[in-house]
Amino acid sequence: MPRYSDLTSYLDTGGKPVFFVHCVKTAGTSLNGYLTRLDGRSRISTYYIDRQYTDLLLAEAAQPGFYENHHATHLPFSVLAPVLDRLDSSRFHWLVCVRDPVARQVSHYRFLKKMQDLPLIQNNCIDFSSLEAFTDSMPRNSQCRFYHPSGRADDAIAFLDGLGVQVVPVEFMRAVIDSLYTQRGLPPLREIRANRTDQEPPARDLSPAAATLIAERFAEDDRLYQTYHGRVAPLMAGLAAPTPVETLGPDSDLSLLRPSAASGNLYIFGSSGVAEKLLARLRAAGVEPAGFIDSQRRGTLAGLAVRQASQLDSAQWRAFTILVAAEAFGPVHRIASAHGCRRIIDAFDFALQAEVWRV
Amino acid sequence: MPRHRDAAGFLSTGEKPLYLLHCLKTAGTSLISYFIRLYGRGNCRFHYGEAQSVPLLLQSLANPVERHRHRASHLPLAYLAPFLKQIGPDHFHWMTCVRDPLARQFSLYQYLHGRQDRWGVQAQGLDFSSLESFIDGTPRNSQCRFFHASGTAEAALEALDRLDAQVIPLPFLGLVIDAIYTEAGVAPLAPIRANTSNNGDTPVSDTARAMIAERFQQDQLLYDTCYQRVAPLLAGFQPALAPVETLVGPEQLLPGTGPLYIFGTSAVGQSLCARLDQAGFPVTGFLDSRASLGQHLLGRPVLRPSALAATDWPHATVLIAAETYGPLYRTLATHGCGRIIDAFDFALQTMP
Repeated sequence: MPRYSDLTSYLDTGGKPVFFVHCVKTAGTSLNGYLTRLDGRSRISTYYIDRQYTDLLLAEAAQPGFYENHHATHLPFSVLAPVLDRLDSSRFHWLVCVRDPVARQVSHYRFLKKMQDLPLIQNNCIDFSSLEAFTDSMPRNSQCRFYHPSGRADDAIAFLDGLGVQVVPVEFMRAVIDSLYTQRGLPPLREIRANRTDQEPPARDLSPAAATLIAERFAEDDRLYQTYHGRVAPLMAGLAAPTPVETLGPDSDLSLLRPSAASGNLYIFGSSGVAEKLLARLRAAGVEPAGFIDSQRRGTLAGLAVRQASQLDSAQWRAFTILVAAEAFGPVHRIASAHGCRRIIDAFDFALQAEVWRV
Repeated sequence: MPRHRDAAGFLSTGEKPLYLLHCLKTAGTSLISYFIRLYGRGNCRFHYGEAQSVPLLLQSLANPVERHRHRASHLPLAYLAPFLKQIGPDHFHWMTCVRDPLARQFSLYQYLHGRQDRWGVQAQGLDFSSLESFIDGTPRNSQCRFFHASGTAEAALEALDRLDAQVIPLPFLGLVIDAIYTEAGVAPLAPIRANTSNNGDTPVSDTARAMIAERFQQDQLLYDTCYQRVAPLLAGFQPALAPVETLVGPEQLLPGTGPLYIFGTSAVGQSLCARLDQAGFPVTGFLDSRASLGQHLLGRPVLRPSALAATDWPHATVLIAAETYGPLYRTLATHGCGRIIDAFDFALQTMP
């Protein structure tokens, strides 16, 4: 079990791209958000909904770049396993998340309840009258079955270990993501939360009857979760969180961004609609940036110059404070830090006016 | 409860557009096929997949041209309930099918089991290792819940009766379809089976039976109640029109005395023509309501029905090779066609 022998082995991606096999309601949407920001949307291939087919995955495996990109899918391992010998699986860092069945069931209940208007939910006539009724409507041990068709923890664990998968109990997701960033020479991001159904504690919906029902119907899922929690928790004990990149948040004092000797020239990195939104928010706070920087284009936007990153020299970079208003945080950070940019601030979620702050 | 007073009351559509409340695995796909063949695809609107939305339905109904279309959807009745003042029994003839829970669960199991490669099935994480495991992981009383969120038979029946819905226990679906055709002046079709997931004869274990009895008690009550209402009404009922003759093979066309026409000039009609040529039953020509003067196809004339002399019709045999059967049948019957044969399914089988 070398993956779990020590913290370094557990976190090590071997420099390979991540292949995330995403079991429903195990914080995967958030993880995909981080993977997207790590290398940009063009470097992650997703296999969800109308792309959730092994045939499509295998067809793309024959295309250039497949083994350089990250991948994420809801395709269960029970479906993927029979075709794994047609991929060079050793070229990926395989990653899955496991979650305490109680928290997962409550989250699943809230999530689907909010999605009752979707045809798939309507067609199945799921009973949302209570968590108990919902749990009784759901397949048993669905986490285990996602990893192995038997639905048994032993089989799921044997399969995951055989493939060298990094199995992440959700509590440790934060540390694993931070590690993905630091292994790539990047400071971690502050928390992003793509999916907000888990804001309230499970206890609100959890009656003793529901707890008993979940314990009975998800006993194998609990064994799966406890097994990996038992392996990973000791490795993580005492692990200090690395310092995240400076980030604009709802409480940030934007006046501190006004050009000064200390902050240098303020630029927005990115020239998309998100960057324009950020400009509008800055202007509303009385802050006028010097312009935009973009890796591809130049010109003008909203009355300000758009400067191409490659045209700027190190002396200029050293005088800049840049606000990253691009989804592709990793590539932007690498460009800016390689040129000695004095201050890099992630402002992407802030620019999006992400509602995450209001919940 | 005039709907259940007699057979005529139960079967009458009031000549309103039809709305099928299509609960999963209650033969709705087959019924939709009959809608299409009777009225034509252009006169039907199906609210499935991305179109399965109450706002989209209401938006469509706001268009006066669209108000008279026949419709079907998987939208549960509970979702439509707030809008029934606008689209209720005054506007539509509401119909739905109910099915014995054991047959329905078995059908659902086979149906989804065969679709495990689809994301929607994968997303549910269903356990297909046995019928018992499958049943254990699916919602209880899902038929009742389709009609009322409580999942009780009483509430479901009340909601359906308020809608004056024609609730059809599956064994009577054929009779109801025949009656709809007859009411529209069209001879009923031979059985269509659009969805073939129910052909299995795998025995159901006692355990599975017991589970279904326990988990689908309200669905059973709903089904039994509807069955008991309808069975006495339809005992001995025969539709006024006999079913249309249906082509199963070219030899059926013997003896070929009069002219032989194919109604329909699409690829389906052309394929049928080639097959009949090959079998030694040369086709005289094609009929098409929009034929232009002097038009030919595969070396045969293409005629409008009105171009045939009245004296020719009684001797003519016409093979309908178009999906839209109802309007073509009525045209042929009006002209006094000697022999009308539905050849659409056979023609489809001849397609390369």
